[in-house]
Amino acid sequence: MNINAISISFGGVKALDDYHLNLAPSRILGVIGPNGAGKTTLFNLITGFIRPDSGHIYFGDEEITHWEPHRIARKGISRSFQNICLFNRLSVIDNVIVGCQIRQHPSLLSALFKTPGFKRNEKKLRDSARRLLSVFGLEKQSDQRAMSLSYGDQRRLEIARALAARPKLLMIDEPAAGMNPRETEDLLALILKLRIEFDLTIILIEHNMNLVMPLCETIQVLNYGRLVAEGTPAEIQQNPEVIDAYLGDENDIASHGS
Amino acid sequence: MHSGRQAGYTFMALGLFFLGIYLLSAYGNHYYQRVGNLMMIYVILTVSLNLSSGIMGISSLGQIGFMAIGAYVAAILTLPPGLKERWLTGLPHWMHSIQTGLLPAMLLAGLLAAVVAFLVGIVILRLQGVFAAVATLGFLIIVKVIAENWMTVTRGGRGLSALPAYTNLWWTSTAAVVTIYAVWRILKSPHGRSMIAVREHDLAAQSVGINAPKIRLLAFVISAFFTGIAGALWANLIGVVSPGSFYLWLTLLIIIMMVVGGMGSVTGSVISAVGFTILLELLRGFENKIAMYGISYIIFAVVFLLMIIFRPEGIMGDREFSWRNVRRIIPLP
Ligand SMILES: Nc1ncnc2c1ncn2[C@@H]1O[C@H](COP(=O)(O)OP(=O)(O)OP(=O)(O)O)[C@@H](O)[C@H]1O
Ligand SMILES: [Mg+2]
Repeated sequence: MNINAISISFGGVKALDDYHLNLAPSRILGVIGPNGAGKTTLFNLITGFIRPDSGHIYFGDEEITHWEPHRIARKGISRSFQNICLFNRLSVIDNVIVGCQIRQHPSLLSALFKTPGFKRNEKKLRDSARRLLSVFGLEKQSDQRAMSLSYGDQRRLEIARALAARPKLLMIDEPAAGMNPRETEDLLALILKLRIEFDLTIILIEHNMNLVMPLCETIQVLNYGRLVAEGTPAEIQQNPEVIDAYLGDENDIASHGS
Repeated sequence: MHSGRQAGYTFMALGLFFLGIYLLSAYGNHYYQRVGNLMMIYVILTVSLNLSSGIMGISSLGQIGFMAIGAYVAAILTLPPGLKERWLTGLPHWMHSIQTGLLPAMLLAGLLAAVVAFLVGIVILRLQGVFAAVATLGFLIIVKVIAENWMTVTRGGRGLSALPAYTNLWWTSTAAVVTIYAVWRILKSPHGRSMIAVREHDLAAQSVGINAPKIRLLAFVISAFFTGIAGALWANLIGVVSPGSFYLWLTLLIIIMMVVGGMGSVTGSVISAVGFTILLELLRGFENKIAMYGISYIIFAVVFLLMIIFRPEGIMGDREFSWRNVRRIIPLP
């Protein structure tokens, strides 16, 4: 993953200004910064939901700057959303199956005639979705509608759906928002496990330092769309500019530790 | 429950259904046969509207435009050659001597409706919600205006009459079963899941690799195909097509049928189309008896309003019929 000098502004607001990123495979990057710093905008740019005013985004050896979102997803970038975006009226397992069927090109005719190949494929999808749900501890709810899940379960289902698409790069937007310390701890363990099991590169946006500090190898700090610092968790904690950006913020960085 | 047994039940139910069709064809009077035909056509219209609107979530008010296209295609194809030569001077010469049977007319009607849906969809499906509704309504109006003014192909406001009465219960019921089956299979396939995913959350669907505009177009085109076939059946049932037949009343009727059945439920559409056809006929009889013309529309509207107030999700919501649920209520073998 390589991002070169992207900028975007909405009206007069520079949401992201001359942003750079160089992320090696299998690393975990944390992106932190106060509200409105441009973190979610960064995700929207990488996944193709919005186009940068200038700059280039590379993934693997291809430039994906102007690709359509679905094409970027098929290339191997999945995300979860800050404001949970599930397929509410689909069942929990169908949410995951929709992710699993990425990169498949089943023919309509095979569905109409219910060919053996079609049935085999449906069973394969269902089995892999079930396996994934059990990793997330959601197998008991698999036939409920997604909207009926608890808040924490919905957040986990979002990550499960993203993973179902077999990404190389997983981007998670504030997964611990609204979770209690216990749930956050479980989430930390879960992400560590997933990372190894699926050989993931991860970008994590999170305000909760109890998640960011132990998890991330590199941290970037954004403020008003500008990259103000980049370094290891230890370096970031001592950076005066960072402490400045967070001063008075409820997530006072100095008071949290890894 | 074992899936082989469910298939067995389904085949038995189909057998009973076609036995009923046989009895109605052989012994029913003309009136009952006609109501049966209309019922099947409404089922096709409602189920296919449900594919594009209920399941896929396109707010379409233009559906009946595709029915009009199908009806005119079938009318032009099946019109007796003598009349064709006299009325339809705008057609190429070789078409004047051609008169097809119902099956080719139906298939071509469906295909042309699908092709038009493809072209219209590319433009209209960029729009969402109310904008899509207005644009599709615009499409319906354009179809009507063309039908009214393209004198040498559609015979304008006078319409095309003396069409052969090819349509019978076997054709309409078979077409209805095929439509239900096809939409049902699509719903239970990866395509169907993608459609619902896009309806539920467009961006999230794209984030897992779904090409949202493409899947919308697919639903729209398939829906138009079956609607076009319903148009063909209608043309050769009634024997006359004219621009006014395919306009706001039918548009409203099938939307009401779909909403009352349950948006997203194929089962609901079938139940609702059957129920409303019977209701409308009963009301018409009642209206004639007490000679208060128009009262049936009022009652119809009241039924719809009551449904919307007391059961806004419709009869079935987005749930479907299953033999498993039937067995919970009635002990089947
Ligand atoms: N689609 C958009 N249209 C207009 N303005 C936008 C849009 N998306 C983001 N912005 C603006 O860009 C700035 C950055 O927003 P962004 O959502 O990226 O912040 P964030 O770092 O994710 O904040 P938070 O921690 O609150 O999630 C904000 O000022 C926001 O109002
Ligand atoms: Mg954000």
